[in-house]
Amino acid sequence: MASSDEFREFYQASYGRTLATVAALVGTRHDAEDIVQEAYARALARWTLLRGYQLPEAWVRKVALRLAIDSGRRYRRRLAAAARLAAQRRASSPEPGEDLKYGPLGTALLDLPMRERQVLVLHYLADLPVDAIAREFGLPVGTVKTRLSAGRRHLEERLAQHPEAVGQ
Amino acid sequence: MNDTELREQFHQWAAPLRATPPPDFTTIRRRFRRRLARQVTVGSAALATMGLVAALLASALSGVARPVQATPWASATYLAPPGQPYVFVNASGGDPAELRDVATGSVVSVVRPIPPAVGFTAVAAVPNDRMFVLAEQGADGQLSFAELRVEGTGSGSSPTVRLTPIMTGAAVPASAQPENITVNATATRLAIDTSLPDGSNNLTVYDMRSGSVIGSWPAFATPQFIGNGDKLAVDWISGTKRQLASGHVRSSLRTIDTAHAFPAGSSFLADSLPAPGLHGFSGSFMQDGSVWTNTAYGALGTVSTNGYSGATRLLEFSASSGRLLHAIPVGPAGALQSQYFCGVLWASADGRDLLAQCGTRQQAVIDGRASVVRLPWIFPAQLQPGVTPFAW
Repeated sequence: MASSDEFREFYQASYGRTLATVAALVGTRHDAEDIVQEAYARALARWTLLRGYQLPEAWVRKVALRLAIDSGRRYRRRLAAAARLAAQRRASSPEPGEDLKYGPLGTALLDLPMRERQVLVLHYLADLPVDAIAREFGLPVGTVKTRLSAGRRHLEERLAQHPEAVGQ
Repeated sequence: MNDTELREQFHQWAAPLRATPPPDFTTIRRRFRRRLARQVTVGSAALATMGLVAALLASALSGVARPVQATPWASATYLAPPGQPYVFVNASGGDPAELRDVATGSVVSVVRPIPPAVGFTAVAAVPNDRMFVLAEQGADGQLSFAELRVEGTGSGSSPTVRLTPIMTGAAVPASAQPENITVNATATRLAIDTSLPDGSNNLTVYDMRSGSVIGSWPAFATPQFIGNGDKLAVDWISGTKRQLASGHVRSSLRTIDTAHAFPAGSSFLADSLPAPGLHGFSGSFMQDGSVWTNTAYGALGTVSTNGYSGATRLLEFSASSGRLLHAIPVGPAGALQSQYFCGVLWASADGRDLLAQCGTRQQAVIDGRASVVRLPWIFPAQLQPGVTPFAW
């Protein structure tokens, strides 16, 4: 299979998963799409190398998370203007996940510190075990467990304030 | 709530996103292409400070050696380059942007777009450092232009900043997304590279006084006015789908004389001239006509897919002969993928003095010799295509 076809197949198969993970971190679909597309563009640039990886999706997710986390508020502020323009140009019919951040779980997640949010999202949404999260972020396993525990506790406290979220 | 329930809740919540079909693959290719263009050029916005001294231009182009002299600003205790105290920073995506004092990092003025525009999308600096040309966009995507003038900069007075619309009658394609703009030294010509909704790019040159179009070409190009006239240098990139997928593109540096108008539909390649000795090479012209580029590719100006992780070097070539003048390490491995800008921040009119940043490392480069400096802040990378982060 040609390299470009391989990449296209990889992109189509993994895009939704990566988008969901990033959207849970940044809170809005539009911001997440920008970040994820940038990550895939970077992956395309080095696909010759990545195609030999066992899990190229992990590389894309890592780049996307770094874009979302490291550049944090400044990056999201920068995206906001462009996203606002794009959103206003878009047709009025809502797309799946458009109102993601307004759901109780999304709102509760966004209330959490980023360090807790990222381990919750990776563990419960990306289904990564604790040791894999530790490797991905270069953290001690104990630190990840602590953040996971604190994140769960804080998340449950916030969800308790919005009981309609349970069973949503 | 136990672990399983919480996991289920997360998955239910994100199910619509996971089921979302990815955008057409051309979207990623366009981003890849823009990213490639950004990486093989040297921040054209930063290099928009061109054409101050015609004599220096002539001497540089004719290969006459430039005089070596002390440059007091280039020291560990950094001072702003003489006559260049201001930088326009568009880091937030355009609303608001800031005019900063380079030496102190302080915000001289917070600048907001002129309604109905809602954001700044590109910026270029006129070499006098007292005028910036801004591309703005409205909520409907309509592009417009404004000039920002810095006045009252004499000793003892605080500068005032005035933002006024310009070229109000200019014909601008609807929903065009500006990527790079450049203005000539006399503020009479504006060149803008835009991406269009169909994924193509267009290079347009305007007469700033009348707003009329001097020339317009379907081309993916990073424009840069050089010298103090109307000569526009263009880093032109083209490639077939196969070449793009493999990371190999055709590229060349070309120049266009925009003193006269070009008929609609004319050929970009026919209207422009290749830079002597620099065929198949990407980079950015300095205002003196020499060429700077940053590269992570190992070989000079050669694009390859596996070079992004390499160390970053600035290479200067002579535009008249193509000869390599300097090769300066500026960034560690992977710096091109940093969240921070990598390339030339500011260049003197003769190209002898440069300020460069790659990742968090900032350096002054004088006649090919680099020394570490520390600016009051670190310039952000252009993470969002279409948003030019600064102009100096």
